Amino acid sequence: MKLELEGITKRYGAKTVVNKVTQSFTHGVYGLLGPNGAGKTTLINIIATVLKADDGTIRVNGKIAGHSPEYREFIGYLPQHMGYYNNFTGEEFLDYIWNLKNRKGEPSQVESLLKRFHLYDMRNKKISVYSGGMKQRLGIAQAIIGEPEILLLDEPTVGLDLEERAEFKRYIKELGEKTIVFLSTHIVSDVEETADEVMLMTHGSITERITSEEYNAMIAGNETTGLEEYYLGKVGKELM
Amino acid sequence: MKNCVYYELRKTVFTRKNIIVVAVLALLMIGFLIWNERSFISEKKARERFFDDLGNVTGDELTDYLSSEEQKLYSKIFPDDGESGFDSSFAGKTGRYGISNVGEWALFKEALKIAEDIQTRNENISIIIQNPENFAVDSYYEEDNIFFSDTKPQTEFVRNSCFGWIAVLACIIVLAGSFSVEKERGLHSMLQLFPKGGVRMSLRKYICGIVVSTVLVISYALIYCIAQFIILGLGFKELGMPLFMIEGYEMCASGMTVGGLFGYTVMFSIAAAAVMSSVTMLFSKLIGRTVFAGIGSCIIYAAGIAADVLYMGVYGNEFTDNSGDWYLISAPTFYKIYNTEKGFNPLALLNNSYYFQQPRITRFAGGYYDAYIVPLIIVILSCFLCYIFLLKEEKNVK
Repeated sequence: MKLELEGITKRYGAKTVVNKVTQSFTHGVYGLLGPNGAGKTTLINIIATVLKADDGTIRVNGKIAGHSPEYREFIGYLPQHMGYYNNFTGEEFLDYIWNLKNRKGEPSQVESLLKRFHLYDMRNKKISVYSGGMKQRLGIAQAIIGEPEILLLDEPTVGLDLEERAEFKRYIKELGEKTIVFLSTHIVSDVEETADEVMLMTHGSITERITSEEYNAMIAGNETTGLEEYYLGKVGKELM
Repeated sequence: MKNCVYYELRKTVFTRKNIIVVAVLALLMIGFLIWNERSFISEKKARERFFDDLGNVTGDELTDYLSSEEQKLYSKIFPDDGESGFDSSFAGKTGRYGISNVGEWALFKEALKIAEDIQTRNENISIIIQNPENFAVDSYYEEDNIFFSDTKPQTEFVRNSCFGWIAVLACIIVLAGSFSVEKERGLHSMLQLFPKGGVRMSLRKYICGIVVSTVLVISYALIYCIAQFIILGLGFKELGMPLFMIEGYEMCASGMTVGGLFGYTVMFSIAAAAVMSSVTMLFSKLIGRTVFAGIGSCIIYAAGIAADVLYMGVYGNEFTDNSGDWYLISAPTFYKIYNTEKGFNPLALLNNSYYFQQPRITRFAGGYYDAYIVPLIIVILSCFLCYIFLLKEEKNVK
């Protein structure tokens, strides 16, 4: 699959939040880094079709995607602030999302996802008793359900402990082998260890896009100590 | 695997809060009935004995007997001996039927009114039938005369009919979060993306809302019926009593029965609940906050009730008190009220009096129709408009 963004622009009044973003993507993990207010979440939401761009086009395999149901079928989406129905159990929540996504009567993935995200033992408990980390895992599981071809994850590792985060990174790497995964986060290490490419976003524009090989080469050549220093250097700040 | 409709109901309808609210409202309704009917409950046995004793007396003989007994008791309770106007010791003393003399006097008075009402009704009908050139004689004028019996249970049954109001209130509370719950929890945008989200989800919610409101009205009607059957000792047979025997309902068409009125009230309560449920769901979607959607709907509901109260105050007296004869309702007055107030206020359908303060047919565009057709059209149109707004695809533009 090939996803292309052409001149994507979004304005709120006089302020341009996303400014003529033109990029193309094939399968792999794409880390989206940038300071607060850079436009990361807005761009993710535009790709997810939650928001409509004022200008620009999204193309999938050369065809204009728009807000068509066919395009939306490709998408898995974890919003930045996700809530739950607290009277649902974890299993019910995933089953509900599966119901909403599944048009073709395919066999349910709920059980395998519950096991994959270590929620199986808690599947019959109300979400209201879940910890923050468990809720986040449930959110990731709902994004992945239905095997989307474009996965948009906005701050997915918030609330996860070290072990869960490590597991999550492994899973994302695995997904990136056949899926386009966008990972918008403040946690540079998440991107550093998973992303095939890193995009830096400032003032609504993608100002840098480097592959993992490129920044690994920079580290080897002592140009930078790591992605964090590289990122801070690009946004005009220094490590303390 | 459960389906989307099940989850739609689980999300907003079958929550702990809603179940508690529905149960509390049902208990409040039963409490209201017991409180309002406490005097009937305490005099139930005395009334049974009293009316059993009168069972063999009929016609003018009955009216004369009741009138003389009522006068006898009155003269003893209010002796005109020049000293005191009220004999409290006699009034408080237990009489023949196990209640106080003043209570028995009230019973005689009540029975006398029932007997006189039957007599007047039969006289009026004979006038109408004998003068067909002056009246639009309808077949229901020619029905059989009515038997004499205790009308108090039926009166209480009709007068305390509050289930429709309570059901609509329950609908508002239950459905206020139907659309806003997703917005409040940050799930709205995500759910729009799914093949069975968006418009299809809105449609499911709307259908669930209408089904829930219907179920709530029927449930409250059943609870009301069961509670009243137990409290008042009513049965289905008693519901066949003509409605004009109920105090305050003398002007209704003679063919209407207490049970028939109850049936109509259930039917139109469903219509009113459907309207208010649609309004509530629309507010829930537009406002996006459960509390404000509930408050907004309650304001609309209160406005509907206020309009009806106004109607009763402004037109009601003119309509009932100044009209001395039954069935002789002035058509221009009726149509004025009907077209200007009732036609545009479907909530007024919840008012029982609506069903007897009108002829059975209405004129529209040169034709004659069932009188309920106009508000029903309003109900259907309101639901349809809300439905259109609810299903309008979101533009996703912020």
